[in-house]
Amino acid sequence: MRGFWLSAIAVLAVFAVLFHVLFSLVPYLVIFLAANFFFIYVAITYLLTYWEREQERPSSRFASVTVIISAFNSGKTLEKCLKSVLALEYPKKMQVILVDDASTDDTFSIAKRFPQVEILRHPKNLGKAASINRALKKAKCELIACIDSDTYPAKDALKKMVALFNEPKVGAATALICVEKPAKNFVQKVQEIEYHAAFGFWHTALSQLDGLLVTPGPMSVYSKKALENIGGFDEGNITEDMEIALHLQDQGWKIKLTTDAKVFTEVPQSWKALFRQRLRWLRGKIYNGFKYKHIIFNAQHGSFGKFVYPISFVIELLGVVVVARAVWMHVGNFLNMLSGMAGIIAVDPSLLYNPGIYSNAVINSSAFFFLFTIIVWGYIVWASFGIAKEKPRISQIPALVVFMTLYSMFISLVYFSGMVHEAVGSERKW
Amino acid sequence: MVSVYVKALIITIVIFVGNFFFIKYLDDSRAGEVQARLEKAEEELQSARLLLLYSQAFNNSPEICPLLETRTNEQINRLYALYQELQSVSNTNVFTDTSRIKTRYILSNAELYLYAVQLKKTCGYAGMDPILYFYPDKQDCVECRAQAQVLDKLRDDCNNIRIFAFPTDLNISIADALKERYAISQTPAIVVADKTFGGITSREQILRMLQCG
Repeated sequence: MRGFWLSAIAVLAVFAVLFHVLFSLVPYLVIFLAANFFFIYVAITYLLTYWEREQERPSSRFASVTVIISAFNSGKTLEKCLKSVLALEYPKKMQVILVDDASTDDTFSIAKRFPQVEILRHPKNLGKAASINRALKKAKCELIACIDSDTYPAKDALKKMVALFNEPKVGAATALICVEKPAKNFVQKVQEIEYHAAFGFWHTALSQLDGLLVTPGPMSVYSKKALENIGGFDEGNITEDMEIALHLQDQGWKIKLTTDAKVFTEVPQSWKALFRQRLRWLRGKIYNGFKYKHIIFNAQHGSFGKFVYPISFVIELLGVVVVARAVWMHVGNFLNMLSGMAGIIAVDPSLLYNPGIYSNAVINSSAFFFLFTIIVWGYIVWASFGIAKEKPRISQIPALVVFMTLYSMFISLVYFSGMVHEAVGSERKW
Repeated sequence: MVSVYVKALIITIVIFVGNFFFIKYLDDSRAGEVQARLEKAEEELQSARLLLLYSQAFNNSPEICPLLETRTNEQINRLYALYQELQSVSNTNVFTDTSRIKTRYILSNAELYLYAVQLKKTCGYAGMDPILYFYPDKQDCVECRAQAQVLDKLRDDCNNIRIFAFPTDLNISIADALKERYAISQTPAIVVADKTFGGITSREQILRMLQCG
């Protein structure tokens, strides 16, 4: 642990030097205008893609499906999950396999109450990817639906997802992932909106460019042939759902999306838990970025390689630079104010505050962009609710405001922390 | 068929160009407003200068002194208010160059200062104790903001104290001449009762040299 902190301090010092050089060379205004230009360009690209989207022609053929549920200490959610899986409306018979990954709670005894479910029990914990891979060997059907044990698909979800396998090169089908209702607290209310935007609007746009970066872990359906072709899930990966999406597309398989299929899942209930989850996602993304670096700017991978995948990294990096600029300024001001309060400068310390990035010049030059950003964000959220066939409620307004303002700073903090963790080389944990 | 990336690039460029024109319009209107006020202040200064000349030409007519003093006080207050506005405009502006307005302002301010000194000699103008404040214009200086705060407060509290601010780094000959005369070697610096103080000078130190009236 001591080693981690020492390395983290060293890495932070390197970041501080890099930021110092960058911020000394490039004025505020240039950073903000450049970031604005980039963000607006990306937003417009995805908006146009979204507006020009084409409807999928669903397949009328329903292949046989094996449902695999990987469970570890899922006593609280498993019964509800199994009930919703068994209640799925599907015209063909389904095989349901539950992998109990060495749970220490009542997961196994709950699973035993469902005779239709085949149970595989691990003597020691192997992780989600390994659990699915073991279950794959027992799977008898053409398609594999992987479902998390804290996820509850809507009755018609599987049928709608399977209809996406309308051509031989479709390797996976994804759905609209929603936060399980009702959201229990404010953190979940913010995620409720975030999930609508991410899995509704953004995934719709990304899927039009054949550029889905993930087959969401809560529920995705795969072609067994595709999984066998790529050798199943990467067992050492902390974001196996992201890795498999990259792997499938790297091997020429397509991933499709239907937002008509709703899948409800449990999400973190505290900011701390959310931070940890997102840190894992981001670290997995960086790790997989290195693993699949040959996709980046590779024209062979079409829009995915040329635009979607590389741009997703640039956005995150720019977000960190913009937030770091704000933090940098606040730290400087804080030190000034501290010196003022300590009597080095015997005046009201509040007047030593340098407005910096909030100076009139920056605010004025960006006012138009702020307005544009608010309108675009507002539209995206509104469209996302439309995709989810829901209407925003008045009680959701505080969560909406936080999502559209402070939440991106929280996410940038996660990105920065993820970069530090990766640079330090600390252990990647689930 | 134009690809979605090219279309998005064109729209983004249009938004940016539109934004720049919009900001330029705002910048120009703000600068124009300050310039108009400065021109008015310059006219009034010229008129006051003529009155002083008139007084000197006709054997220092003492009856004109009270009028001149009142006018000068108003002038100094007006020009000082304009200074704050000019600072705000120059901080706000992105595209319009305000340096020429600033130079004109500094020249008027210097002229007003010299005029006030002259008035003091001619009319014994007792109502004014000038403080010269030297600061760098091109860089942010925490101590200067602190010093400006002290001076602003003094000006508000004391009717007799008048502040004349001069930048040290704009190559304006009158500002440079004053800088040399008072041997200004650091910023912030102030000149009170013909004595130079470098660094931050507190309210108490200033009030030891001047009465607050």
